[in-house]
Amino acid sequence: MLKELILGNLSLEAIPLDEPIIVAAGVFMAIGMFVVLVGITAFKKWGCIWNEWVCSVDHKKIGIMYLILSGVMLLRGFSDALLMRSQQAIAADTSMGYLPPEHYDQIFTAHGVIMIFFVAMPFMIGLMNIAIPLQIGARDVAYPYLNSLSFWMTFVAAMLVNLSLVVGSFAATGWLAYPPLSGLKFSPGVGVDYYVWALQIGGVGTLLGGINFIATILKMRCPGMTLMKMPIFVWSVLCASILICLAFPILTVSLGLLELDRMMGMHFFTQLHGGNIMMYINLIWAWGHPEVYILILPAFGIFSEVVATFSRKRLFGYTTMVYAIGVITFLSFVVWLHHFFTMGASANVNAFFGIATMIIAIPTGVKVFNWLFTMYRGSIRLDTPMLWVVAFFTTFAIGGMTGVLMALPPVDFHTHNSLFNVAHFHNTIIGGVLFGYFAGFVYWFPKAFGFQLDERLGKISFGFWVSGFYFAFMPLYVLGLQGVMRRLVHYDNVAYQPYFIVAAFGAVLILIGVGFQILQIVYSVKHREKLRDKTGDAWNGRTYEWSISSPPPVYNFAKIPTANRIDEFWYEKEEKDPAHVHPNDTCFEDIHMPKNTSAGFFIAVFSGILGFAMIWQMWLPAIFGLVGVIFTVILRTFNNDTDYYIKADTVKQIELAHYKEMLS
Amino acid sequence: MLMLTQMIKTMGRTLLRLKFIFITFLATLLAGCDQKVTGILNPKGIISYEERILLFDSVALMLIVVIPVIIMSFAFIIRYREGKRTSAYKPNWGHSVFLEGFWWGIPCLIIVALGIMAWHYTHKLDPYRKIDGYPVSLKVQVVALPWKWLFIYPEQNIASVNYLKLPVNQQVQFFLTSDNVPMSAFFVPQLGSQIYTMAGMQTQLHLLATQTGTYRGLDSQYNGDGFSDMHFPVEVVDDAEMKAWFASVKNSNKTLNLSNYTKLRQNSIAHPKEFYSGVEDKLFMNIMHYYMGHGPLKFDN
Amino acid sequence: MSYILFARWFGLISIILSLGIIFNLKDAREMAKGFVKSETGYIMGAVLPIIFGSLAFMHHHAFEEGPTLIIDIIGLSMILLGAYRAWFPEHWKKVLGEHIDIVPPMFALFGMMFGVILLYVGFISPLIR
Repeated sequence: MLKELILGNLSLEAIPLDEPIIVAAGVFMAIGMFVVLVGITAFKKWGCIWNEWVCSVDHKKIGIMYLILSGVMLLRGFSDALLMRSQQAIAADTSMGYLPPEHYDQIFTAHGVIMIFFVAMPFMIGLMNIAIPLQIGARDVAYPYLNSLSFWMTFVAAMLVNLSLVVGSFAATGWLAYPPLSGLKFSPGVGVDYYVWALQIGGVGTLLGGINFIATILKMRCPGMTLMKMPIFVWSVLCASILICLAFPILTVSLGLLELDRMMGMHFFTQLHGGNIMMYINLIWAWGHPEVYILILPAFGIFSEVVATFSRKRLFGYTTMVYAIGVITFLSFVVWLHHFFTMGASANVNAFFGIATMIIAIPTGVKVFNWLFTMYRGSIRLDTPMLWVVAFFTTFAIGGMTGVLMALPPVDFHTHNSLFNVAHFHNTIIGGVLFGYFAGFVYWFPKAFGFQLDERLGKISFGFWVSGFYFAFMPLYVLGLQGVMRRLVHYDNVAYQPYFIVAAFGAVLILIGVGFQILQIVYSVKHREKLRDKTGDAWNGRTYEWSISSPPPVYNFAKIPTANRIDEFWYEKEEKDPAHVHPNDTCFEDIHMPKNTSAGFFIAVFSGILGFAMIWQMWLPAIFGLVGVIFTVILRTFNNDTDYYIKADTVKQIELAHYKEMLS
Repeated sequence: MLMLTQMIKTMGRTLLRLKFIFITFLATLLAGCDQKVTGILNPKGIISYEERILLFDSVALMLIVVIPVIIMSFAFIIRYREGKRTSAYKPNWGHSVFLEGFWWGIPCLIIVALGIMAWHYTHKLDPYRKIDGYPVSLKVQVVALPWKWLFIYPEQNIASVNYLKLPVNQQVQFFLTSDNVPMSAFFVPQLGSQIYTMAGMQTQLHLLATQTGTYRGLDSQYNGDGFSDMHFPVEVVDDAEMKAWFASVKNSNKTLNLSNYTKLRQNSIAHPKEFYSGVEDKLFMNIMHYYMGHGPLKFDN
Repeated sequence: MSYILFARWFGLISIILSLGIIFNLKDAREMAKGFVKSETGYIMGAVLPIIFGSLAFMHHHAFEEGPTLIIDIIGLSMILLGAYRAWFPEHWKKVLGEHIDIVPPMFALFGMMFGVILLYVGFISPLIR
């Protein structure tokens, strides 16, 4: 009896020792973790890791941790992609490939879930964390402890998904887990439960992050910086955060109802007893569509920053850019039905949502034209961030075009669920979101770490990524138009095989691109003295993050700046000579900073225990986890020692050191 | 110099990729007469034919903006790159009502055109709508089963599994549902649109094939392990052959009674073709009613 | 001349000339400045659009739905533009002078847009109908 309460359904059989690929992946993961743990112990870094990173509430450190999580999960999500591409390149006609359907179905589900929730979202939130407070002249985000909690919740959710590889199985339902396939009848195992709990935990983290950034941007801008003087990236993050706050609760509810069906035998989405799957599909896409706009808006913001900086020219049409972002934000809530035109809604309904979807193309097009005319009569430097922007123009134009194409219901009746659809969303996500985040990564890397990334390796990896992308996804457009569907583990028409082989070749090119990105980071770390960013202004930037040292001191700004116009820092540089005042001539004050705390970490760990226990129906550990969460939250509220002051003298010493380095 | 070479290399790569897409696409398009091209690019039914026209026309309308944008992005990079700084450099110019009006206005006009097309064609090509100018000469009831398709011809009282025969130049009305399988979707790309099939619910589709031949029908919605094998041949034949086929199926010694149906609805992958000379009375209706909680059918699920 | 032939011919002219302008913006600006002062401007800006526009319009199919509608719209807009430039040349020169800096890319942009849709109507549309 006690054994059941503690162990639930968990047993040694949950470890799939009979599947060699999974065993190999699990061993690989274990070796990786082992190497990292042994390394940290060998270099005696546990104290530093715990105090400076795990307990950190500093937005810069949290941002870096988000980026590391995103990078590691990219490797897992991309391995899934390579497995899928190689399977499809082989499995034509009578060949069944090397992946059985049960396994392949989990791979494409994991690929989608990991890429959206644990690569794209953390990448975005990481860049947001690093850049936003610096751009608005603030010392940190509005709720630093909540920031730490958000990160650790996302981390624990990612670890749950990784755990599902070796203990039990993951969902085999596609990344949105439509019922009835995800219901108890057709997915009786633990896979969908892993999916639900990981996303619920991660979803809480993201929602808290959204609240955090809205508060930060609305309340913590430096004096003089009105809303219409903020950098455009800040606007895009504000709107993305509003989308997060409005959309993520829908995800929580949909997955919650699904889990009630599974755990408590309810009938929200079952085929029998009054359930209706159409409800789930509507709800999940009412979240799902804003989600993709959450991803793309910060990328658009990054493009605005990069284009203006690398054209050495002010952004064209700032006001209309803001309105365009606002219109896109609003419209993203009224288009969700275009994901299921084929579900049998009436022509009036389909036509309405189709037209609404097409209308979003207008503000997006306006933004593209504004970027082009920012470049017009500028003085363009083609460093790596700008190269990503150039690739974005062509790639996103094609992706957006195919999107508007599919917004026409009669066309969608052919392309829905086909490889054309797959090619479209990879086109916009890779060409728009990922290229934007890569540009932002290279752009803000010197600010976060203090040294630049090697340019040559950056350009080489760019070349492989872009050419790999086109080879991998253009054949899918052709295949989709020929009636080849997505999620096929094998197909019977040999005529399709050449296209799949070209796509697999493209995936290999991207793999080389990723390899060069890793090489770039390793090489740059090794040569960081040579690549050091001494002035803090690596790109001759226009916004306030470039006015402080790289990496910034823990308090960001010794004196909060005053912004009187857009790109105030740029004009300060042009007009004042010298732009920087000697620290000895400035008068410093004590700076108020938040203290590090381990509460966020522990709450997340207890949530993870709760989630894992619920998946395997281990009731005692589940109660333990739940009590742990509540207890830690309450314990934290009793903690009155959450802040400290940095003395003015210390600030002065730090500023003096930076000033000396700048002049050298 | 190195930067210039890098830039040209990457531009060249992107342009080459574009040319590759364009040529492949054009080749597939022009090979439309070649039977090997499947899907909407090689339509054999009225609905697909109209949908292809809509596809191409809307792509063309969008290319009006997309191609100039792509070309301008390269032209501006080349002309205004650092090093060629001329009197053209205008660092503080960032506003022009005329230009803004232009690029709000032109996309608006294009979207208005696309919107009108969307409204008109969504109504005209609505799967539930009968095709104008043709009477409905055949009714087919479609039941998605785990990992095969059951086609019932209610007026002829015959049924087939994983095989669909349709008459040429005649409108066929489909009624669709599913049983014992997650949501699926019926799709014959060369003939017309796809439509979801959901348990306890009925969807409709109208198709009209314009050329005899054998085409591919499939399930487009992922529904489990047998998904990749859930396809079936669709044979479009002339009227005489159609009637002959009805007669020959009537000679089959199998009927789709309740016990055969209960066996049929169990899981099977790559199910071979089957033909039934009689169908249980109101089977399609009762399958739907089962999910609504009433009706004579009882299965242990 | 059928509408397809017109579309192919004018589409090719349009796209080739616009590509020339967009990749030679500096020379294009010099030329634009010269136009405003000389008769070449009047011929290129007013006479040619009227000729081409009316050619398109002469063979129109009464604004019926379909690809010919594109030709009708393009023809009509060229006639109107040419007429404006022929009837109000001073006003036109003034507007051109004020915006001379963005005239070359705008002209190229319009040319590319016209070219794309005309090439579609002329070459691709007949294949799928």
